[in-house]
Amino acid sequence: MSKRKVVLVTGISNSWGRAYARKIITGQSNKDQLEYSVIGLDSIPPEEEITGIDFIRADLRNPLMTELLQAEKVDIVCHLAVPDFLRPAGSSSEKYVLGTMKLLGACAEAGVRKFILKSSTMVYGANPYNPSFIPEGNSLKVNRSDSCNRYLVEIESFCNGFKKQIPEMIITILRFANIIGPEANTPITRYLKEPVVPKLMGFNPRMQLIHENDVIDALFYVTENDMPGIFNVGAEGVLPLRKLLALTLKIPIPIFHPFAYWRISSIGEASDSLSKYWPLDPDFLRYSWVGDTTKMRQELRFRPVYTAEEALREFAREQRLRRFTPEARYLEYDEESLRKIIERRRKERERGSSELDLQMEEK
Amino acid sequence: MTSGDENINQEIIDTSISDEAEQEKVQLEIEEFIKEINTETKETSPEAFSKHPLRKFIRKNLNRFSQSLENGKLQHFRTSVGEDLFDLDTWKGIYYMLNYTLEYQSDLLKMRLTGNYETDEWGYDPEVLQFVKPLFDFLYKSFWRVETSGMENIPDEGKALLVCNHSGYLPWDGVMIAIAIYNEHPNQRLVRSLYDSSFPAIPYISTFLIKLGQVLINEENCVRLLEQDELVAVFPERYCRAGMLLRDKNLSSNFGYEGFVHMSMMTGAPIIPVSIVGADEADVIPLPTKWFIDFGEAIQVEVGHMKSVDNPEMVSMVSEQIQKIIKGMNNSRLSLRQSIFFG
Amino acid sequence: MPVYQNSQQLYDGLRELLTTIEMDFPESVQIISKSCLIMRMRCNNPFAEVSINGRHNPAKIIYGPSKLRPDIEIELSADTLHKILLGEFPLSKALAAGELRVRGPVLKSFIFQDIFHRGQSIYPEICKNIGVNA
Repeated sequence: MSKRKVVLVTGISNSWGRAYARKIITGQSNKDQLEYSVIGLDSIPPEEEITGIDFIRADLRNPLMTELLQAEKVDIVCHLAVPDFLRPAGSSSEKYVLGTMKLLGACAEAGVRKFILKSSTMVYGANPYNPSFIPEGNSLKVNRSDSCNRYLVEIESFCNGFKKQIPEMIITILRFANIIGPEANTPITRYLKEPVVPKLMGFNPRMQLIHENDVIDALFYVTENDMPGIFNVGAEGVLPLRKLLALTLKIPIPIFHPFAYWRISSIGEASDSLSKYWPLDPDFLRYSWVGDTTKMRQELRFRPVYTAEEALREFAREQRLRRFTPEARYLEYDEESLRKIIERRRKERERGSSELDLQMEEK
Repeated sequence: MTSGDENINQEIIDTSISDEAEQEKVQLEIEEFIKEINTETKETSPEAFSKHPLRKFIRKNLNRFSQSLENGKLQHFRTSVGEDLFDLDTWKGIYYMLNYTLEYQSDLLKMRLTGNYETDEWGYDPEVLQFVKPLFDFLYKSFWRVETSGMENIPDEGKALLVCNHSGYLPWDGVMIAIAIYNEHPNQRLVRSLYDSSFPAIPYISTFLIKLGQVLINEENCVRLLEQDELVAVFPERYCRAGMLLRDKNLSSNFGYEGFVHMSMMTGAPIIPVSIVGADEADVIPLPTKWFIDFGEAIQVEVGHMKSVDNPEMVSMVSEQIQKIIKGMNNSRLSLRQSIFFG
Repeated sequence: MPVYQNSQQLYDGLRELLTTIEMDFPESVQIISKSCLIMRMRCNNPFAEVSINGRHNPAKIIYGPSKLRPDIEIELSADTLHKILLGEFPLSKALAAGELRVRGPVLKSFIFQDIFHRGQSIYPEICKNIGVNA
C-alpha cells in the first residue's frame, strides 16, 4: 500500500477549508488507493460535518502544535486560516499574524515538507507608482497605517524571511486576485451584493478577478506538485471597474474621494455597517492592482478555467436567481440541512447506544 | 534656342485655349439641361437658379475624377438629377439613413451600459477614442494646424521608441503625436505615451488617459509594451522637470535619456527622434500657434551585447547623440519658422 | 437561396473583381489613394469583409477582418451586392430600401461609386468564372 500523505488544513471551518478538503477527498476518488488523508484544524468546529476528514479543535498559537505535527507525521500544511479582509485596528489581526508565525515555527521543527499559503494580490498595495502588471518581485507596500492589507503584508514578509532560514521546506505562496463566484464570501462579492454600489468619483481602476473554483483548483495543483515560490494567480482578462459594474448590472454612486478617506478614518475600527459598504479600502477602488500572471502560466503551468468575464457573468446570474426566486433556494437549502441533521442525530444515537452498552458491560 | 522657346510657348498657349473651350462647352451643356428641367416641371416654379455657384461646385467635384470619366459623370448627373431628385425613394433613403444612424448610436449606448464593450489589457477603449476624436481632430487641423514630416520613418509594424523633446507639463503634445500617426500613418497605429505619475491621483484625467491607451511611466511597463510590439512615445525632459517641481522621489532622473536608451538596448527597439515645434508656447494657456512635428530617421541600437547594455559610458554616449539629433532637428525647424502663429 | 454558397466563394469573387479593376482601371484606384480614406465593405449571408486602405499608394486591399478603423463603412447582404453589380438594382434604390447601409461621410462615398460602375461592367464574366448564376 502506498504511503499516505497527511495534509493538515488550517481554517477548516471557513468556506475555503471546507471546499479544499472536499476537493482533496473527491479529487482522488477515482484512484483505488487514497493518497491523502486530511486533518482539519480550527479553533471552532465546522457548522456541517465534512465526511472523510479528521477534525481537531485547537488554536494555532498553541505551543503543542509541534508535537501534533510530529505525531501525525504531517507532510503538507495548507494554511487557509487567514481571512480575506480585516480592519487592522484592534487585536484580531495580531491573532492571525502570531498564529501564522507559530505555525511556521512548528512546521520547521517538526520537519514538515511543504507549506502552502493562500494570500492575495492586495499585498502589493494599490498606489499609482506600481506597474500596470505587478510582477511577483515587486516590493509589498502598505499605504497607510490603517490599511486593510497590513496583516497580509506582515504574514508574507515573515514567510519570506522564513524561506531563507529553512531552505529545505517547500514554501508556496499563492497570491489570488479578487475571488468571485456564486458561493464565495470575499470583499469583492460583499461589495457587489447591493444593487447600488459606491464608487470613487472619476476613478476607474483596472480589476483582476479569479473564479472560486479556480482558487481551489490552484491550491490542489500545488498540493500535488512541488512548486516552491510566490505566484500571482488571476483569470485572463483585465476589466475596468465600470465595466465590472455594468456587467453585473449595478448602479454606481460616485463619491468624491476625500470624503471616502475621511469617513473611513474617522469611523475607525469597523462597525458592521461600514464593512458592509466599504469592504475594500478606498485605495483599492482608486488605483489598479493587477498582478502579472506570466509566472503562473509559464512556471506554474496552471491555467484557470474561467476567464474574468465568464466568472463575472456566472456571479451575476447567481445573484439574479437568488433575488428572483429566493423561496425556491431556501426550500432547497432547508431540505439539505434537515437531512444532514437527521443523519447526524441517528449516528449520535447509535454511538450513544453502543457506549451505553459498553458502560453496562463494564458495570 | 529661340525656335525651341517658341514651340514651348505655342504649346502652353494651345492648352490654355482648349481649357477655355472645354469650360464653355460645359457651361452650354448645363444651361441646356436647366432649360430641360424647366420645361419638364412647368407646374412647380423653382426659385431662380444662379449658374455661377453651381458651376463652381460642379467644377470642384469634377476635379476628383479622372479626365476620361468627366463626360460619363456629366451624363450620369444629367439623368440622375432628372430622376432621383423627384423620386420619393431618395428621400426615403435619406430618412432611413438618419434612422439607422440614430439606432446605431443608441445601440452603442446600450452596449456600454451593459458592459458589452471591448477593452484591451492596458485599459484602452477604442470607442472612447472615436468619441473624442472630433475634438482632437479640430485641435489638430484647425487650432494648431499641425504639419508633420518624416512619417515614413515610422515602421508599419513592430516596436519603436519615439523620443520627443517637449518640456512643458500638459500632455497635449502627446495627444497631437498620437493623432498625427493615427490619422496619417497607413496602418492607423496607436501610439502609447507614457505619462508621469502626478496624473493618476487626479480624478477624471487618469481614467481618461487610460481609456485612450496611455500608460504610466514605469520601467516594467515600458519594457512590456515594447515587447508587445507597440509604439511607445516618451518625453524625457518633461519627467525630469516635473520630478524636480514636485520633488517626487519616484520619478527622478531615472527616466532621462539614459533610461530610455537602456530600455531600447534591452528590447532591441529602434529609437525615432521626434522634434515638436510650437508646443512650448501653448503650455498653460493654449494659444493657436502652428505646430510642426518632425520624425527623424530610426536609430537602431545594437542588442544582444551584454557589454553595451551594462556599459554606462556607451549608454550615455548614445543618449547624448540622440539629444544632439533632436536638438538639431528642432533648430532647423525653428530657423525656418517666421512667425509663431503662421509658421 | 443565396447566390453565394459560402464565404470562400464570395471572397474569390471579390478578389477577382477587385484585382481586375486594379489592373484594367488604375485611375479608379488612384482616386482612392488621393483621398486617403479607409473604406470597409461588410457582406452578410455569407459573411465577408473587405477593407480598402487608401492611405497606401497604391491602395491596399485587405480581404477578411482587419483591425483598421474605417472612415466609411458599407454593410449589405451578398445577394444585394450581386444584384447591384449586375445592374438590376440601382444604388440609390438599395439605399432607400435599407438593403445597403452606409456609415460615415456620405459625400465622400461618391468616390467608391466609380468602383461600382467599373465592377458592373466586368461582373457578368466573373460570375461565369467562379460558377455563380448571373
